[in-house]
Amino acid sequence: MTAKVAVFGAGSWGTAFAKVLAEAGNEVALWGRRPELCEAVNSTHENADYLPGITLPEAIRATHDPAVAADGAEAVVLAVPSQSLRENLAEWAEVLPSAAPLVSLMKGVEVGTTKRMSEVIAELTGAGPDRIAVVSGPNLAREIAEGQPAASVVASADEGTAERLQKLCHSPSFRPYTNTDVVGCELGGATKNVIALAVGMAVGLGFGDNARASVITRGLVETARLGTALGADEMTFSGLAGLGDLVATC
Amino acid sequence: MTVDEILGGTRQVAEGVKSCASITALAHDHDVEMPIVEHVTRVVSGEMTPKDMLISFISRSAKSERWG
Repeated sequence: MTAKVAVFGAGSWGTAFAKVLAEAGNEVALWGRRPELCEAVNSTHENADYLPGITLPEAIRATHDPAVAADGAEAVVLAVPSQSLRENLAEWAEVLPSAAPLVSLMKGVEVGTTKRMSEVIAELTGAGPDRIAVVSGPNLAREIAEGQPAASVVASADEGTAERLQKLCHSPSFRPYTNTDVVGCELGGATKNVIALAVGMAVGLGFGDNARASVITRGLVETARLGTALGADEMTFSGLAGLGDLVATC
Repeated sequence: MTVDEILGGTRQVAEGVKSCASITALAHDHDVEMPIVEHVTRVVSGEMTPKDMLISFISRSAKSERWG
């Protein structure tokens, strides 16, 4: 029996992950804000704005109606820009199936509140930790959409939830590993973009591999320091959502 | 390379810029030192140049790898 999964956010990563879910054997409802983009995805099987040249499986159906996207979904994936999550979820919360796991693909910390995406999800939906999950790791959207092999982490405080979601997104080219450290995975994903800026500056200043490696390594150390202060498992940072994602980004 | 040149790049760069300040704030809330994140935040806001950042890093006090 095929499961139906809803993906909210038709940017490059939302669309690429929708492709992973479809290739893993699911029916996927892809929500996008613009009706024209949804029309285009449904008729041409391509998201030309965000993943030009990539043919999307027919199992992906796009809609700009959140209720249609969420209807009957066994899992709901959230892939909108992190600073827009609060505003979006306020709109969607009442149409989301009450038992479906809510999976965050978003890497960022909310400006003003300093909340992680999973915390915003919990606040706006009332979902408990057993219903909230995060997917993170070296997952550059374009490469994943091209079917290049990649590994990532599916993290949830509830191991059963993580395992069920792992099965949903385990495709011929996408290899998810489970983890229970949501905090660590989220902080790894959010901080890596900042460390990557530092690496970019080192490269811009004309430095080579030593400097790159030193900044990556010490960047991970301070990320782990923040993580540990917030209750994360230090080991998460030497994993896919820590080191893995940072190396891919830098 | 100017900050604008570095930032002229990709969407991931944009994410980093937005997250800088909020991660710095999160670190301060929990009394956690994050020198790289804090310096990048200051470069992004125009308070210091990448070169100043480098000088600041190199002149930090010597410590153990596992400090803090």
